[in-house]
Amino acid sequence: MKLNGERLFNLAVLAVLCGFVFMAIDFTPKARLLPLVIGIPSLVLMIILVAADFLKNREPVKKLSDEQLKRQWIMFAGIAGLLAMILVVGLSLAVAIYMLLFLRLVGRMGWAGSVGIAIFAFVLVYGLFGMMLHYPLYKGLLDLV
Amino acid sequence: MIDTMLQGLALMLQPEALLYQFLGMILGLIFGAIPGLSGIQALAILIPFVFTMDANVAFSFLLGAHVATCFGGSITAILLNVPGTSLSIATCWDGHPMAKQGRAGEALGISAMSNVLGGWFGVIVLAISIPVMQPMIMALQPSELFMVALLGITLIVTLSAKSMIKGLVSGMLGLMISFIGQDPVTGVSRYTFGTVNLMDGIDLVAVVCGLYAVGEMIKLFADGGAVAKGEVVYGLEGVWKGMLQPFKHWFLLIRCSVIGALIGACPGVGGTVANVVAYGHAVQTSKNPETFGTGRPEGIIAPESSHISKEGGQMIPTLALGIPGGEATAVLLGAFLILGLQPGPAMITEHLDITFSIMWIIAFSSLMSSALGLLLAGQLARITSVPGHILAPLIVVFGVVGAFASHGSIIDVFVALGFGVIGYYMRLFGYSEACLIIGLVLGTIFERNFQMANMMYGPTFVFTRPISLVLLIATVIMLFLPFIKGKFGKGKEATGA
Repeated sequence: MKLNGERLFNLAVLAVLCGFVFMAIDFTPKARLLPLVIGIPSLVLMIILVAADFLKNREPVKKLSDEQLKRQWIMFAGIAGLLAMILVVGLSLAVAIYMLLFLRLVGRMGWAGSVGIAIFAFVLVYGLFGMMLHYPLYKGLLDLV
Repeated sequence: MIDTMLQGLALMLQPEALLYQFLGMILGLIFGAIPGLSGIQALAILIPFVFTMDANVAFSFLLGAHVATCFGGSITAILLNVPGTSLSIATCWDGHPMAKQGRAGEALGISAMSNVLGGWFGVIVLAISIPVMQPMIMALQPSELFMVALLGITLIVTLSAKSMIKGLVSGMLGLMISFIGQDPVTGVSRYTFGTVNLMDGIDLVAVVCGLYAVGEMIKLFADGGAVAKGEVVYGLEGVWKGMLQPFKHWFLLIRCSVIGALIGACPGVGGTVANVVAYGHAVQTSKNPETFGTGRPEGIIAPESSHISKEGGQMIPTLALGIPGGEATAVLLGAFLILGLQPGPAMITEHLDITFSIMWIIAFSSLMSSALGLLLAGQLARITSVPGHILAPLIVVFGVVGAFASHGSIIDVFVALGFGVIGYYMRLFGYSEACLIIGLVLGTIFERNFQMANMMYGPTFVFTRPISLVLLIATVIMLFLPFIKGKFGKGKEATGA
C-alpha cells in the first residue's frame, strides 16, 4: 500500500481527532459532553474514510506537477523563513526582510520595487500598529525594533 | 413620530456631520480592507476624537467608519479570497470564484448594491421595532440562541455535498477546535496543554487569516499565474451588471436582510453568524445547491445583505436596553457615555431624535460607502491580474499582520501560518475550509447556550419553549429542503456564470 500526500494528511486528521476524543475523556462530565458528542462521530467518519481509501486503493484527489511541487516548497520555505525571522528580529523587521527577499529572489522584481514594497510593509506594521495603535510589537531575540 | 424622524434626518444632514461621516467612511473602507482590522479597531481609534463633538456629529463620524468596514471587508474577500474582517467570510465562497472567472467588477457590484439595500432594510427593521424592542429582546433566551447556532451548523451538511465525509469531518474539526480553551460554563481548561496562551481558545481572526490569506496564496503561487484565470472585465459594465443582480433576487435579499437584522438583535451572537446563516439559507433554498461555491450571485447577495442589515439589528438591544448587540456596539456604548447619553429606555423617550439620526446615519453610510467603493471597483479588479509571485508574499504579510492585529499577540501569527499550511492541504485534498470555519464560528455559541439552556429549562428545553420549537422545525425543514427539491424540483435555476 503506497502512502501519498493525501493519505498522510488523512492519517494526520485521524490522529488529531483521536487526540481530541481521548483527551476529552479526562474532563469533568459537563466539560466533556459536547467534545465527545461531536468527537466520536467525527472519529468514526474519519476511520471509515481512511479504511475505504486504503481498501479501494484509489487515485489521489489531485496530483501536483513537478513544477507545482517545486513552487509549493518554495512557498513553504518562505513561510518557515518568515517564522524564523519573526523569532529572531521581531515582527516589523521580519515582514520587511521577507518581502524584500521574496520579491527580489523569487519574484525577480527590480531593487527599487522590492525595497519600496519592503519599506511599505515596515511602515504598515511599525507605523500603523506600533506607533499609531500602540500595539506591543514582538521584538524577537535581538530586540531591535 | 414623522416629525422626530425628520429631525433626525436634519441632524444627520448638518454640514459638519456630513464632513465627519465622509472622513469616517474613508477610514472605514481602508480598515475594512486590511485583514485583521475591523469596525471595532476603527471605533477604538476614533473615540478619543469625539469628546468635544455634538452627539449627531460624533455618531456620524463613528458609524460612518463602522458601516464602511462592511463593504471594505468584502473588497479583499472578493478579489483575493482574504476576508478583510471575519464578518466577510461567506462573501469569499462565491465572490472569489467570480473574481477568478474575471468577473470581479460584477461581484463588487453585487456586494455594493446588497450592502445598500440590506443596510436600508436593517434600518427599517430598527425603526419598526422601536415600540416592541424590549419584549422582543427579552424573548431571546439561551435556548433560542442555541437553536440559531444549530440552524447555522446544519449548513455543514449542505456544503458537504461534494464530498460528504470530508465536509462533515471538516465541520466537526472546526467545532472541536472551538472547544479549545476554558469551558464557557464550568471554566474547566480543555486542550490547553497547561499553557495560558490557549485559555481563551484559538482566535477566529488568526484562523481566517491563515486559512484564507496564507493558504490561498500558497495555492496561487504553486499553481502559477494570477488570481483571474480568464480575461478580466475592468470597466463599469461588469459593475453595472452586478448592481442589477440584487433586484433580480429581491426576495432572497429581503429574507437574508431579515435574518441579519434578527441575528444582529440577539446580544452576543455576532455578525459572522448572520453572515454564515444567511449564506446557508441561500444554499438550502436554492434549486441548485451544488453550484454554490462556483460564483453564484446569490452566494454574495445573501451574506452581504445580512452582514449590513445586522448593523440595524445590533442597535436594537444597544439602544433599547443598553446591552451591546455585538463587539462593535460594545465599543459604541462607550461613546454614548462619553457624550452624556444613557443607552436604554431614555433613548426612546428623551432622545428619540438622536435614535432616528443614528438610523439615518447607518442608511446613508451604507449608500455612500458602497458608492465610494464602486467608483474604484473597475480599478480594484486589476488586482486579480497581478502575478502570483508578487501578490503571494504581499498577502501572506497582510495575513500575518491581520492575525497579529486581532489581539496584538505573536501566538496568533504562528497560528495563522500553521493554519495557512493546513488550509492549503485541505484545498488540495478536497476538505472544506468553509465547513471548518462554520464549525469554529458557531461552536462556542452552540455550546455556551446549550449548557445554559440545559441548566435553566432542563434537557427538553427545545420542546418547551415555543420560539425554540419553531426554530427546530425550521432547522429540520432547511436540512431536508435541498434533498426534497433535488428529488421533486421541477426546473433548474440558471447558474451564476
